[in-house]
Amino acid sequence: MRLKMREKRRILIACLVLAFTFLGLYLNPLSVHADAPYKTYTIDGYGYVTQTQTAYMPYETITRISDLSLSSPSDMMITKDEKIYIADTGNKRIVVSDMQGNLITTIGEGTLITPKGVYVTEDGTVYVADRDAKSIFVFDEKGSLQTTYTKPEHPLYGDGLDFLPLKIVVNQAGNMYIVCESNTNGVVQISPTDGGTFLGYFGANFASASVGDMIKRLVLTDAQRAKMVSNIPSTPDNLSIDEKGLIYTVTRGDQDDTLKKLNIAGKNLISPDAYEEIPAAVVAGNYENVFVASTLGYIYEYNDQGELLFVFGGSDDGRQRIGLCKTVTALGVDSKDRIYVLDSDMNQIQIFEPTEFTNLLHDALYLFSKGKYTESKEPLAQVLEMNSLFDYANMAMGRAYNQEENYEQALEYAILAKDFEGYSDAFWEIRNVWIRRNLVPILGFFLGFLILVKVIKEIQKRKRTFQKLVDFKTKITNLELVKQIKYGFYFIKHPIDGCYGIKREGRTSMLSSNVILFLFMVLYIINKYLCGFLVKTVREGRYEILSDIGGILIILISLTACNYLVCTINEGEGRKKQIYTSFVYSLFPYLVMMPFIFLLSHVITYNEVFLIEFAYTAMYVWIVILLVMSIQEINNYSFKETVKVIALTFFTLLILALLVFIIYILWSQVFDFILAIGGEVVYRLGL
Amino acid sequence: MKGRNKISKREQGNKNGYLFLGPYYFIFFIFIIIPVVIAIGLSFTNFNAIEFPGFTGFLNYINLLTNDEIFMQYVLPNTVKYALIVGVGGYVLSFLVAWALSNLTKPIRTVFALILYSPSMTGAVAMTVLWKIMFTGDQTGYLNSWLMNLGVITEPVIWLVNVDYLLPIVIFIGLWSSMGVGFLAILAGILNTDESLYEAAAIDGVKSRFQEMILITIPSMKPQMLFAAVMSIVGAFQGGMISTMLAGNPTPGYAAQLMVNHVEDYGFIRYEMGYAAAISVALLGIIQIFSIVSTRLFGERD
Repeated sequence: MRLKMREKRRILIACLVLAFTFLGLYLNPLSVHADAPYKTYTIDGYGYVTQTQTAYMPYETITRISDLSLSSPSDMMITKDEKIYIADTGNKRIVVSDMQGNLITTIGEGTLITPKGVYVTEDGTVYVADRDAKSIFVFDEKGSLQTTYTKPEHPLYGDGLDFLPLKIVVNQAGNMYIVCESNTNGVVQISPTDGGTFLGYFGANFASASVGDMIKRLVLTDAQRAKMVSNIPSTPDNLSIDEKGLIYTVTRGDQDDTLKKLNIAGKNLISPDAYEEIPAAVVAGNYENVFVASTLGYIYEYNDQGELLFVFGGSDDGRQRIGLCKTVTALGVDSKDRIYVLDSDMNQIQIFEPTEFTNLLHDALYLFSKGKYTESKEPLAQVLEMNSLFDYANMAMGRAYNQEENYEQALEYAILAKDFEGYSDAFWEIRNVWIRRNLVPILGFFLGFLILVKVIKEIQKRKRTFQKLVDFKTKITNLELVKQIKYGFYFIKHPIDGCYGIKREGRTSMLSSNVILFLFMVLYIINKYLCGFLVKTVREGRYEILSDIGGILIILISLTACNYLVCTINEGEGRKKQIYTSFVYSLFPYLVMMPFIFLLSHVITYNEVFLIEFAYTAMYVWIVILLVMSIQEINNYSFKETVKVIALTFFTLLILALLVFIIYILWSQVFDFILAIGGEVVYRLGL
Repeated sequence: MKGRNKISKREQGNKNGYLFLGPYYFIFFIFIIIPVVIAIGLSFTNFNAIEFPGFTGFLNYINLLTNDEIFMQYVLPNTVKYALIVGVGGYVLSFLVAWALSNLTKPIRTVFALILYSPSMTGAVAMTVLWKIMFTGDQTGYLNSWLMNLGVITEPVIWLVNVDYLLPIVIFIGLWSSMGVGFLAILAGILNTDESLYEAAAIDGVKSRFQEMILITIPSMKPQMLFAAVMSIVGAFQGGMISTMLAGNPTPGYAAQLMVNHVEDYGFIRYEMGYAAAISVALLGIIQIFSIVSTRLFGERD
């Protein structure tokens, strides 16, 4: 059965891929070679990773450069004049090729020992970072050695530190930024003047301290601290420079700082919303976007704010499928936005080509980030036509409309994209206009209403016109059940007397408690699924009402039961019914405050969201106080005893949960056993 | 009513009473009533402190509610947030601290009460010698230095310019200096509670200190509680000195702009006295509403 499902799904995916293939053929007849052997993911408005359509297709693989083959190449640079420079580490040379993989020339044979990094400036000067030669070699465009830079003789560089350059980029002023092996101070910055002047360290990573470390630092002596494992910042793994001179670094294991976009002062500008554990390479794209590749072959594309657009690619499982990689060491992007991935294990370059969808998205986001909102709307609309659920495009669309002051549309797209900030901004404007228009009529209506109430009361006083209504109202309020429910208002204001009323005066009943519990659940569910957009915590269109009801009932009943069990052996005076009733009545603040919170949640923006937070805090504090006081009063405990009983109740709850868990596991074992016997019987009998 | 009037008339009316109250009423009239009336009057004009004010009707109020986006977007939410936390929090804190102090012996209690009361008196001095140094934006600031030594932050945070931290800092300092007159009143109220009531309650079955507090202490000091509540609400809404002292007026990004700062901004920086008067009248209205609410909550209910 399961297999069949999987097959069905596979067929479905095949159909989809086929459909896209045809779409691709229709749009761009030459672009598609095969379907992608990987899935493409993006991040949706809720921050979850979801699958999306293929953003980049495998295009080609360059396995040899004319008749030269590569040997564990470790870096690659693609220049504007359509040349690929490959640091062919194993063969101790730099290989220069055209975009089709035809050899142009080789550089540095005989000079280089282990060329690990290569960078080419616009005038064709080639910088090579050679680890074992401990130097940077600079070649001119013809390949003759011009300069060599070795370890900077500067006190600030650090005497004991070796100079083992791995990667290098050069900015337009000719300053070199060099990543060195095991140099934790950051990127080494060297200016070409005077045969290489050390300018300082750039964009250092920080050692992060956990709370435990901080406490240790507070408590331990210096001698003890010296014995601890030292907390050293990590060395960047790779770097790249874009046209503006901004430098991107990737560092493994640095979490939010895995990808950094550093300005000239070395200040980080972005914080990626998803990151790779073992990044290997980074390269800036043509649209202020940036690509990061992991060693395993996953490629991440981010926009200029560090927001994830796509993740695609994957690890090759030995079948050598085009599009999958083994060990990625370098990335490149050409002028047609194709991505080049250098694989040092398979000694080849994989080329990925953007789909029509991705091209449109790039156009739109580039215009958007340049502030050309109106122009960006057209490509965005096309993107949305292809995938109306692409939250990122919806968000950009909403923001664009917001900039155009078309707030109604902005609100619509913000809701689609789950863009809470955008929603808040657009809604504020709409609400402001509404208030401006309707303030005077509302005030008038309010005054009129007050006067009307006064007049009606006066008429009633004099002529008793509405006597029947009044009688009906008194009849309702005199009903036993209504009185018992209304007792909640008294209970929440005077919990001590209120508990006395529950315990001794019989002011409540099981029925009234159950009604209150029912109302509580109704309000809870309404609020959970229908509250205002900004405070909603569940995903749109997801309803789990039964499990909500079950959850509330289980928690309440187990709490009551455990509390009763603990109280009876601790000289508590409460009965089951009294404990249950007082617990339910303790939830009464929820009934009082929730309707207001619910209504408020529909008309607030982020400016006023603190009102709701306050209301929630106040409500929960109130409920907890009522619960504690009702335990104390119903059982006639002192404060100390109450604390003890509460702790014991929680312990009992834990035991109960454990018990249920064990029973569940045992029963599922039994069930499995019976099922297995059944299966065996069926198999033996050959049914 | 009538009977009392007759008796008082027989005793030469209330002349003596009014005579004694006279100086107070005179000063109250000159320094409170007349300015309030003038402010209300000015709020209907476009006074700029130089020309004679021209009558504009309700224009200032309409502008305040519909055109002043800074007011609606920053000032009002900030003020409500500040007043809710500092007003309510300060009140609860005053009560708890006063209750704790009432359990101490007299000399220690006096010293502690003085220590706790002093922040509300020494506001401006404390601000410059303590808080500005505490929150200095470079590594010489105490907070930055501590946090950097602990490794919580790696580079100094410019506390008093940062939009995210400014209001919390202002609220924190507000809470610190909230042990004012209300706190003294509560302390006095707790100390004045009749001891025999506690004894009687103990005989009737009150077991815990908490029950004592709820059932005896609070009911027997309702007037002081009401006074403290009104004082803390009024104080919280009028707070504004802290943000200007720390970050100037207007505060960076309007992050800690409170209504009083907004009034100062319009009144003494832009010289739009009419509009400033309208804001202050609105503030008066808000304070009045909250005082009524607190009177309802804590006042005598018979």
